[in-house]
Amino acid sequence: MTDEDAGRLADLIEDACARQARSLDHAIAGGLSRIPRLLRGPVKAVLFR
Amino acid sequence: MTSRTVETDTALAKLARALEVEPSELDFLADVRLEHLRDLRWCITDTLGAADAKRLNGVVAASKLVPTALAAAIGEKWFGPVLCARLVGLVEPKRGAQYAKHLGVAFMADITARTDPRVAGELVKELELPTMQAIAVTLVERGDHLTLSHFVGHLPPEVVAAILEAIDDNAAVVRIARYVEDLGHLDPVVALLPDARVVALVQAVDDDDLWVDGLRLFSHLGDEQITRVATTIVRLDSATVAAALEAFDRHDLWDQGLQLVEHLDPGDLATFADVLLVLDDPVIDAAIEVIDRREAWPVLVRIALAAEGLNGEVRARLGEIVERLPRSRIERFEQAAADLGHPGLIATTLRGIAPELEPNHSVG
Repeated sequence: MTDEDAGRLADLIEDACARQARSLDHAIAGGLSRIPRLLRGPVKAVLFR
Repeated sequence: MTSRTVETDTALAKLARALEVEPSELDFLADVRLEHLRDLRWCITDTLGAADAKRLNGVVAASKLVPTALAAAIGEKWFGPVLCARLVGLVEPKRGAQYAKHLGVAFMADITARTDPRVAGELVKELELPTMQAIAVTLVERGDHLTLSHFVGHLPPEVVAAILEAIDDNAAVVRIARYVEDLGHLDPVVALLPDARVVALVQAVDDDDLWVDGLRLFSHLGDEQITRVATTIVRLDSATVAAALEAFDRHDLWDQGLQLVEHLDPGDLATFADVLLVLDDPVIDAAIEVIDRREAWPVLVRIALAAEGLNGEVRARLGEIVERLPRSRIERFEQAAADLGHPGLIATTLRGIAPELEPNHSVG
C-alpha cells in the first residue's frame, strides 16, 4: 500500500468515526425525548457520568 | 493491478460495509493481500467500537433503567441498525434476547448486516432459533449472501446447520458459502446436513450452473464430505455428471474435479467413466494434462479398472485414449497400475481393447 492509499484509507476511517459520533449524538437526543419525564433524570445521569 | 478474484471482491465488500461506503470506493485496496484486508476490517471495526466506547457503554447501562420494550423501540426508531450493531457486543446476551422479542425481523436483519460476527456468539446462544432463522430468511430474500457468510465461521456448526434448515433456496446457500472467508468452516456444517440436503445442493449447483462456486467449495471439504458430494453427483444421473465434466472443461476446473473423482468408489467410478470416456478428445486431453501435473495417474488406473465392467464401446474408447498417450505418460500409467497391484495393466487388461498397444509401443 502506498502512502497515498494509506492516507485515503485513514480519511475513510476518520469519516466513519465522525459519522458514527454524529449518529450517536442524534440517537441519544432522540432516545431521551422518548423516555418518560420521570426516568429522564436517572437515565441522563447514567448516560453522562 | 492484479486480476480481481472472488475472494478479493468479497473482502473489499466486507470492508466497505464496515466503513459504510460503496465497495467501489475501496478499489485502491484491490492489490492488498487477503489476510491483510481481513485484519484491516477487524482493526477498523475495533477502532469504530473504541471511538465511542464510553458513550456506547453509557447507552447500554442507561437502557437497563427503562422497560425492555421501550428501549427496543428507541433502538429501532432513534439508534438505527448501525449503532444497534455496535451495541450487540456490549449488551448482556440475555437482555439482548429480550430486546429481540420487541424488534421487527427486518430491523434485526439490518442490525445483523452490520454486526461484528466476532462478538455475536454469546447473543446467539440466547436467541431463539426461529428468530435467527427468520433473520436469515429475510437476508436471503434480500440477496444479502455476504452477511450470512460472515457469520459461518463464528457460530457453532450446529447453529449454522439449524439456521440453514429454514433456507429452502439451495442456490442461495451455495452463494452464501462462496463468500465464507475460511472455507475450512464449511466441512463441519456440511457434515451435519442430511443426505437429502446435500442432494438438493448438488442439484442447485447443476440447475443454476454454479459449478465454479460449487467445485471451489467442495474441494475445500474434508475427505468424508468430499466423498459424500462426489458420490451424490455421480448417483444423481448421467446428465449431472456430464454437466459437471462440461464445467470442469469450460472453466478449467479439472484440478477440483479430479479431487472429487479421486474419492469415488469403484462402482461410482464406473458410472463416472461411462460418461467421461465418451467425451471428445480435447476434453479428455485436458483431463490427462491435469492428471499428469497432479501426478494423479492412480485415478486413471482406477478408471481403467472400473471400465473393465463397462460395455465394449466404452472400453475401446479407453484403449484409444491410452494409445494416444506419449511413452513417458504410458510409463507413469504403468507404474501407477503396478503400485496399485495391477502390474502390466496395459499389456494384459487393455490389450484386448488396443491390441496394437504393446508395453514398448511409443506414441507422440
